[in-house]
Amino acid sequence: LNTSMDWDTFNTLRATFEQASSGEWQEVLTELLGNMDTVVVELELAAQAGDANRVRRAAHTLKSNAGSLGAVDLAATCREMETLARAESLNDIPELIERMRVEFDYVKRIVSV
Amino acid sequence: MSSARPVTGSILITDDDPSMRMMLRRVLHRDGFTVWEAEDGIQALKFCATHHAPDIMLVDAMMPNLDGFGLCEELQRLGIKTSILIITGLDDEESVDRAFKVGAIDYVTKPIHWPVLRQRVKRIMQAKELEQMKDDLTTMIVHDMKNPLSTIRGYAELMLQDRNPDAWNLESVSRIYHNSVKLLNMTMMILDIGRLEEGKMPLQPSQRPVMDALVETQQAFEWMATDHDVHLAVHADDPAVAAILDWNLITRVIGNLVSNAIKHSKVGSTVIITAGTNEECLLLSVIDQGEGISEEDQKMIWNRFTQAKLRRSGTLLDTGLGLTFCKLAVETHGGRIDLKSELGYGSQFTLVLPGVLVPQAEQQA
Repeated sequence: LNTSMDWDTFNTLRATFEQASSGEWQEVLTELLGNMDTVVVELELAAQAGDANRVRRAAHTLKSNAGSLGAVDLAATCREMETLARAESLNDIPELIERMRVEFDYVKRIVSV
Repeated sequence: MSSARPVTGSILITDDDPSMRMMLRRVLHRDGFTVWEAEDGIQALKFCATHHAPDIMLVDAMMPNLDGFGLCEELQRLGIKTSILIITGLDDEESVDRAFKVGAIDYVTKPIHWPVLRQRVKRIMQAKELEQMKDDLTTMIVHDMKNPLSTIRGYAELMLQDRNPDAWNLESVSRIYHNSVKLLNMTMMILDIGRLEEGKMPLQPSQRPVMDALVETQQAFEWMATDHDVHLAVHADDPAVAAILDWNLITRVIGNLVSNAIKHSKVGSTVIITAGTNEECLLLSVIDQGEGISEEDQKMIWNRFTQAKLRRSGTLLDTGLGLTFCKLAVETHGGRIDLKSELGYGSQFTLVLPGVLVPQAEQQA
């Protein structure tokens, strides 16, 4: 999978926290990825329940977190889900969740290096 | 405002995204701010109702329950004064217009560019601080004008009731005169600071023996020194040294420093006005044995907008505008004022004035 990363955004984020102490960046990254895991679960539950509003909110949060990391493709997939959920069109959501999962796994690996 | 002084203040982060709150909290806390968090607009309103309104609110535009725009409207409706910085998605330009309409003063887009956010928050906080200091200064000046005005009115009323000029004693007239001089001096000081800052006060230099000017100042403040039971002395390394300066301005500067020194001196101590030279500079010092100024306060005494804070702490006994005037007047001469001070031991203010000394040969000519 070729997922694009905006490395400038990622490196600025990392530098912002590494500037304080070497351990802070690891704490921030762990907490951020952990929170994103929680939102992914919420997104899946909301999709299973057919709750468009919850899907939209979860996709919105995930989009924002992905954007913070500079994970451009992951953010784009989340934006797509957010747009569909806003239009209450949930048919393509399961397929997008699958794509999002793969992209998210890749991002987790690449940013944790 | 001194850029070296850290900016402080309180910030309420309102965002339903815990990751965003976590990152904002860490960054802003590290920058020295007191940070609180709210998960949505409702929580933010509850916070404002139960605590003081924060200096700045960082508000996410899209939140459940009460979103960023609804929150801004509510804050306006409730008359809660805080500076709102809206956080909005890059793909949401419409939100920016809406944010300004509901009272936000600035915005940042997601993904957040952290250095930009930090600068923006710092700038807003500095602007708020400056605004507060200006308000404090205005209040302080008005307060300082009220006392002499009340005295003038009181004595004038007494004289009007009496209507017999023969009965007007010299004391009443003298009090009216001294208080009106005080008011006029304050007014002139405020006007002069404005002119000096704008560079609209042309210097009127003339040659004069330095000792003459110092003795004149000594004589002018002898009554004040006696009132405070303080000795006032003058010393010049070379009594014959002369300098070309705007002597009207410089004697006012020395007078201001002497007046401050006397007010802060211990009973029975001595205030010395000295003149010396160093390389190409004339050095004029006012030295006291008073309570001294802490290192922290030394950074603030020259800025008129920080004077209110100093008066509350007791470092200043008046508006403190005099020191701003002194600094500007000396800088207009191309010089500077050095301050050495130690708590409990006293202060030494030294005017360092380059290129103003008159060579001995020219003095004789």
